[in-house]
Amino acid sequence: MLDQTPLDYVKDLPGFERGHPHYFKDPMIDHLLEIVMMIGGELWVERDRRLIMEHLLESKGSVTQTMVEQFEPDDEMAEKLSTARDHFTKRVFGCLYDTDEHTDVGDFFNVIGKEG
Amino acid sequence: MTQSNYFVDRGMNGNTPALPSRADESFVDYVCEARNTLLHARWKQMGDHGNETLKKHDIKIEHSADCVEQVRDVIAGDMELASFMRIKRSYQEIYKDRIIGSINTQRDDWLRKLDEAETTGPGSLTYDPDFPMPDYAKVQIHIQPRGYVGDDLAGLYYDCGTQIFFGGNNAGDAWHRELAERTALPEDGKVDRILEIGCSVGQLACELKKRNTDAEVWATDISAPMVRYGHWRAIQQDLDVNFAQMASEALEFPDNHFDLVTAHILFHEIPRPVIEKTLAEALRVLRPGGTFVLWDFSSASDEKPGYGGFLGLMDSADNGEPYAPGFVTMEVEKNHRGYGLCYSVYW
Ligand SMILES: C[S@@+](CC[C@H](N)C(=O)[O-])C[C@H]1O[C@@H](n2cnc3c(N)ncnc32)[C@H](O)[C@@H]1O
Repeated sequence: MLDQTPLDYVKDLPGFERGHPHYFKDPMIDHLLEIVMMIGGELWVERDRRLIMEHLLESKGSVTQTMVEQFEPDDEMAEKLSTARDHFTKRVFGCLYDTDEHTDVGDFFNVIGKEG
Repeated sequence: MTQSNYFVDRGMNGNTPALPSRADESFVDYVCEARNTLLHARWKQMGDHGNETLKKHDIKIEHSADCVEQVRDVIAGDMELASFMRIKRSYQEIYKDRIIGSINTQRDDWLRKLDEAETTGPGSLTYDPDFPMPDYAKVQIHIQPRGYVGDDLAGLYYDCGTQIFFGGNNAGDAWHRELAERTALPEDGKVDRILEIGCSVGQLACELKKRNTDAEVWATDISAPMVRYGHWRAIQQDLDVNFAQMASEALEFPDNHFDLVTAHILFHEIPRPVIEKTLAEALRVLRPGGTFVLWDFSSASDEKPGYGGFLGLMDSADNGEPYAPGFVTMEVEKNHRGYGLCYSVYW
């Protein structure tokens, strides 16, 4: 039998509700970073789609929305997309962590073996 | 036009359905990549930095709202900590919201699929629409709106979302397969009945079934959306696993019934009184000589604070893990050795 004694205290524990924390003294900095992270994602979505379209055009000669949606990369293409994503992230956010990596990841188009 | 006509079928990624659009999938891939680079790679460094900074401010970590507020003031004065915490929280928010938004474009289709699976096998499904859900289980866990129990599609959100938690490396349930292989079986070799408690979508139970094909396997969870989806997911793999909605602290099985009982990352998500009852229940249903295998966060110690330190406290407050600090400070592996094996993963 499930014990129905309520554990009232749980609702007051930090983390029970999602809340809206901010971390900088000025919450506008939080918002700016949030926007940057979101834009990073939207930009990657566009690049990913363009890479797939170029790949389909080269290999099939045509491209449709359904082909893009159902595209399943082979190992080589999956590796290319993953490398491009890795370098994209490092180039965009490298300044946030202590490494020189972001300065030498090379041109995006060279990385994925295209001329751009 | 029904939803299903409108969308292209994007198939499965391993045992997990692909998100309804390529755009959402690539957005989630980006979050996964960025988290690996910006968060996971700096985890230890930022944890140490946070712990040292709190020491400098003479703040002793306590699991309380007051302490969290004190720590927030410290974070606001340290740009490195503030940016780390901001990134951690924002990625959590944007991927949860993206996945949930994406899946909900096919909500009606999914609800129909889950309904249809209810009367289909292999395996069985038991749940109670009037289950008396305790308040503690209604937490917005991992800042997921409506948590594990308040949305009929919570199981599918969990399946797609944890692909990110596992760093993008769990397609095909590789992690759960490894756990199933590492699971210590009873020494006498008899494994007729297996129980997983807090099974979520049943990945471990399914892998245990693959390893012990003749065993009767039960996958239980307090959340109906989890077991309903878990049942659908097991059917896709043609696995005969029995899913049941059941609280781990009130197992509806006879004494000495199972040869193996497992719990993987359940314990840090339930309050201490429930942990105590769950331990007792797991032992009650386990036969003499059976094994109880528990995987969860390591206990916190002064030398290795882990979840008991800066990052844990803030994860608990800002990532919907209200019970984890209570778990890591009860030293379950020290105080409950007799319960069987206890491996620690994560942290
Ligand atoms: C982190 S998930 C477990 C993950 C899963 N075992 C795996 O291997 O992927 C925690 C699960 O515990 C369930 N849960 C929470 N409280 C519970 C309780 N009292 N009894 C049973 N399940 C519970 C939640 O609904 C959730 O699905």
